[in-house]
Amino acid sequence: MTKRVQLRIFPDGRVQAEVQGIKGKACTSYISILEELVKAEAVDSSYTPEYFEKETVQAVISDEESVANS
Amino acid sequence: MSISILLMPLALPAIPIIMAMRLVMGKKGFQKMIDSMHMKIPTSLVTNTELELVLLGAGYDFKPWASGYKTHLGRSSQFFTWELDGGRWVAVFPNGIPQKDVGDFIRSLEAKSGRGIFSDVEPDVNNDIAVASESMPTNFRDEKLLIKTLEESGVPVTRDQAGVITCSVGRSMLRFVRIAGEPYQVEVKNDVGRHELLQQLMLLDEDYCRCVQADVYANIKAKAFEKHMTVESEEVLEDNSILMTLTIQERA
Repeated sequence: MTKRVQLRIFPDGRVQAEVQGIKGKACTSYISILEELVKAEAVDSSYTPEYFEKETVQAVISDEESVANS
Repeated sequence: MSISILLMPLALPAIPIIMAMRLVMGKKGFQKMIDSMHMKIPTSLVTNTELELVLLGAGYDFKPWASGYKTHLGRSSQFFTWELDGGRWVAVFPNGIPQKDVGDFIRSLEAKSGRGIFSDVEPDVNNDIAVASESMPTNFRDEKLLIKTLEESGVPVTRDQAGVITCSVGRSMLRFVRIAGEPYQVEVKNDVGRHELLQQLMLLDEDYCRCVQADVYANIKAKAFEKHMTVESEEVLEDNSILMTLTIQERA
């Protein structure tokens, strides 16, 4: 998956950023990179639904594997 | 995996101008000023059913809006709101609606309903409030952007050696004074009503925010390469937001 950053610069100057395609906790390191890029301060951050969807799928697979192995 | 981040440019403070003014003026003073920006005309109507019947019968709309209702003036996008005050419905017209349109609406509603809904009540047009003589807070943090905003608005600006920016906006003489690290405070020299001053500051605030948006965009374009990113696409959305997609380059 291509690694991307989507930035929406609102007319009032606020910026909503979304980092996509970066695995693991590495995506949080982009908070400081984006602060420098935008010359701004991060005031809020959260994982997107996509993050939780993938976590759920992995959890189901793990459960199935453990049932098959038992 | 992805993460969503909300970023506030350093040129903007975290507190919007309206909230800052509310803090400075206190709840009562702020409400008085906000009230002064509207013309409230009480009616003789008590229940919302009665109000709805009168409006719909006269060909106007009646839609839920915040804690009350709103009605459009004719086919235009202009609307005013209704609020209950002292057990009676009050029409709240923003100052942006011309007095003639308000008068036309009142005459039309009374003629079509055959009732003196407003006629016994004098509109409260005494909407000028005491002069603001103290300093007031602003959203402006960045000297360069503030000067650019003023100049782009056609306002001649002078800046003295102490960094104080002076200009004339409308009937007001404004002095922008800054204490290190804080947003500018504005001192008003001329005798104008507070609501007029607030309108001027809000217009200036909008222009300033547009300059911040342009500055953020320019920064991203200039620094993307340095941060190992390339601009893949960009578009201006309906609300004038700028949507940019940047590809992150793999590092060797």
